[in-house]
Amino acid sequence: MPIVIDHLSHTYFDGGMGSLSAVEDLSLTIHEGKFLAIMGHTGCGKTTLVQHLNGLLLPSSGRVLVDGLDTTDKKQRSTIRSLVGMVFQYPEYQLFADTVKEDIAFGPRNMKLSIEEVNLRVSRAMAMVGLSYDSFADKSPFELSGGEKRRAALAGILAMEPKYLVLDEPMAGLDPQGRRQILQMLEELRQSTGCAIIMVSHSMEDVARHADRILVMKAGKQMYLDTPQSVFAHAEELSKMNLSLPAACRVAALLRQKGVDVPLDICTREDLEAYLMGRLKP
Amino acid sequence: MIEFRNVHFQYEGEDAPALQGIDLVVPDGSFLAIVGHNGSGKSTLSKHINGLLLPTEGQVLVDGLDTKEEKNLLSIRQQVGMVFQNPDNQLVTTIVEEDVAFGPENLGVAPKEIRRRVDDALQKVGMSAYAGSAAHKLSGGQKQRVAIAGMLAMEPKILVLDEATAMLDSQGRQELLQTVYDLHQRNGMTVVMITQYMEEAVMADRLVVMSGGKLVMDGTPVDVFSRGKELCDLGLDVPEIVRIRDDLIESGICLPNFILTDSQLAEALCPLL
Amino acid sequence: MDITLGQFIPGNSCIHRLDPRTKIWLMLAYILMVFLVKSMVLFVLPLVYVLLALKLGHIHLSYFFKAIKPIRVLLVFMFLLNLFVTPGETVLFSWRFIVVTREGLRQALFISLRLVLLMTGASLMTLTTSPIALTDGLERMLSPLKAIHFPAHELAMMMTIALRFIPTLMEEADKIKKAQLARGADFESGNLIARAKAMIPILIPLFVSAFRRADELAMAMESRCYHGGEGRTKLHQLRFTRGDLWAALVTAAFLLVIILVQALVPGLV
Repeated sequence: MPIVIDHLSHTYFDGGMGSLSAVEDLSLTIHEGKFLAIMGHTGCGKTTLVQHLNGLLLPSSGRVLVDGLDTTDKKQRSTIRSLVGMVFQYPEYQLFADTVKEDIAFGPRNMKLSIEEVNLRVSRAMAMVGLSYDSFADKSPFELSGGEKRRAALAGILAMEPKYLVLDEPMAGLDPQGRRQILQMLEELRQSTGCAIIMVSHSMEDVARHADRILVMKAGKQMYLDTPQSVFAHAEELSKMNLSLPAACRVAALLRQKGVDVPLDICTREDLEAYLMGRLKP
Repeated sequence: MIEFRNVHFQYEGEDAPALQGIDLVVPDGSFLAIVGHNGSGKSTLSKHINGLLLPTEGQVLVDGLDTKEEKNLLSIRQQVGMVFQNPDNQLVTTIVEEDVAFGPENLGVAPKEIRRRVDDALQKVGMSAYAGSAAHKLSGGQKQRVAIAGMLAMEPKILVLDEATAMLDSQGRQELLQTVYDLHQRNGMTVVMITQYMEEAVMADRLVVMSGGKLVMDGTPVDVFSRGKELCDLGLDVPEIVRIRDDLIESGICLPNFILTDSQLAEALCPLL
Repeated sequence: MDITLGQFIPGNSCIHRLDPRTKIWLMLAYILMVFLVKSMVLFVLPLVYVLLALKLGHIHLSYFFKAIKPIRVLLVFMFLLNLFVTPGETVLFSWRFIVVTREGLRQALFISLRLVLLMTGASLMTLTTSPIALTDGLERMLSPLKAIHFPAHELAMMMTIALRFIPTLMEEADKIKKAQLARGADFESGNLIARAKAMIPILIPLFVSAFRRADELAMAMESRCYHGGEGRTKLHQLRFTRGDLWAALVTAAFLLVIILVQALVPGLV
């Protein structure tokens, strides 16, 4: 069963002086095992939207159903939170325990799992993010390097073995290799467990390459919801919104401006290269 | 001019040195980008430029002034404006214009002159409209531009950006880079930009790559990005445009190898199509 | 999450333009007024005074209620405590062990009114005075004490930074709380000890982050040539103007009236 967002609106009240609509009448179904990317400006409502997926925020109107469970139902909240894992921006800033393994165990323990199961999940999650159990489990999380901290924090969510994984800019602040590792890990996770990925990102090349669908938000509303090819075909509108485009897409747009008849559905390097090779080397 | 002379540095309690024999000269008016993986020492290097860190061995000279001399520090710091990664942790006061005034206030500049500099600096970064705003309510990109204004108000010759775009969204990043580029072009500001993003390094006229506390590559962006394999081994990357360029060249399409930006690539492709 | 105390609303009213030192002195005079008033009727005077200032400062009345909000529990508690505990003779109401006397009611009303008035006054000052102006004012007022090595500048700088970082740290606390909630943390059930323990996953990251921020801020300040208060100049020079004189005169008049009326008309309710 999917996550169904049904006519969701969320309004913040500004101390009685007025109200601010952060998400307006948004409907969306997030399917199991798929990769959904969410794009938009700071303040477009994407953070508000994702915090509805596990009931951290509740709708002002409309509904959010996670596998049929309503997020407003208090009794279902802990089930929902174990189904939907959420990785905040800079998750390493939430680390708190004495050792890495204790920190990773925090989530599974809150799920009231048996000790054996908790331990099993901790070691599985560490393997998944590429932190060796022997060398890291008993270390203090505060002794790790920046990239290792990020992976330890990710493991803390993965150990809950969620069915849907929400990530807010998981690659922010990492070097190219760190970014590659995280993306690769997410792909492996999706293939091995069928976990759905919902990722807020500004990294357009990665989004174009990995996402099944992209949701573009503007002022709390859905602007586009489609495959990367179809969304990036709106190159001009996206640029007007000051969103950046994948490099291949930018080159295609520039060529189009120069009067070359480039197809609209080019959004990755491979797309562009295949098209150019077809034209230049028949 | 910034001069690093055989600079070594080791953090207390760490086994490995963070900098190992850095020799580097940055002439006035140049735009230098420094890239390197996490922990390569690039941030440590930047903190040597204004004496926040002092070499355990060797010398750093800014306009001939040694950072090790306590009495030089104020004038070095006045000349070197430094913008850090986290926009929230470098604004000192609540109101934008008061924050921009912080530097000149510390330098003992006369109030009238501070006023002029604050207005001028805010105008240069395009933030005049926010002079009276609360700093914590601005977006990340706006905060970073205010931070730059805070530096400009000290009238420095050198601007050091220590991963200043890392925490910004794409729009904030664009705004900040444009601001820096304009300052370099119009006002002849010397820029040292430390970054994780290869696309940003393209803007510079010189690119230095760091790894393990050493300078391992040094050249124009065109030179450095022609060594894609080596960069990849160092945990880095080439800009997406360069990768497309190289793929096409490899497949036998005739393209000049100095292409670094999307407009250059489009320009070169257009006559072929 | 919003606290009114310590939140400045930029503006250019005559109250905003007063010298911060004047405002600090007026605040002291106002506190004196509130505590001097010993009769219910005379409470009108400080009330009129503070409402007048709100009006002149273009501060919307809703901020007045926002100012009261954080202390409402305290307010109710103080009211009830004084209502029941104050000894008195004229019984107004009694039921089983609950006895309300005229003296108790009077005392309870006095305390609550004072609290509300003080809170409003303090909010008014922070709403119309930028934190840096306030700290500048304090620094200037305390600077004669530098002769006896009182750290006036350091104190003022600490206040400036604290005020700047309150909203940032509040946001951060909210974010960390949400992140731990998402990991199934439970802050609402269990006894007091269990709840206090449940706060650890919020408090530790918050402290770590506060130290990291402090470290980075110190570097940023050093980079901007900060080297203590010596030789520092200010963007905004403090200068007393005609407005300050008027404000002082009006305040003195209010204070005088209260003192005189209290002395001359002893039997006021």
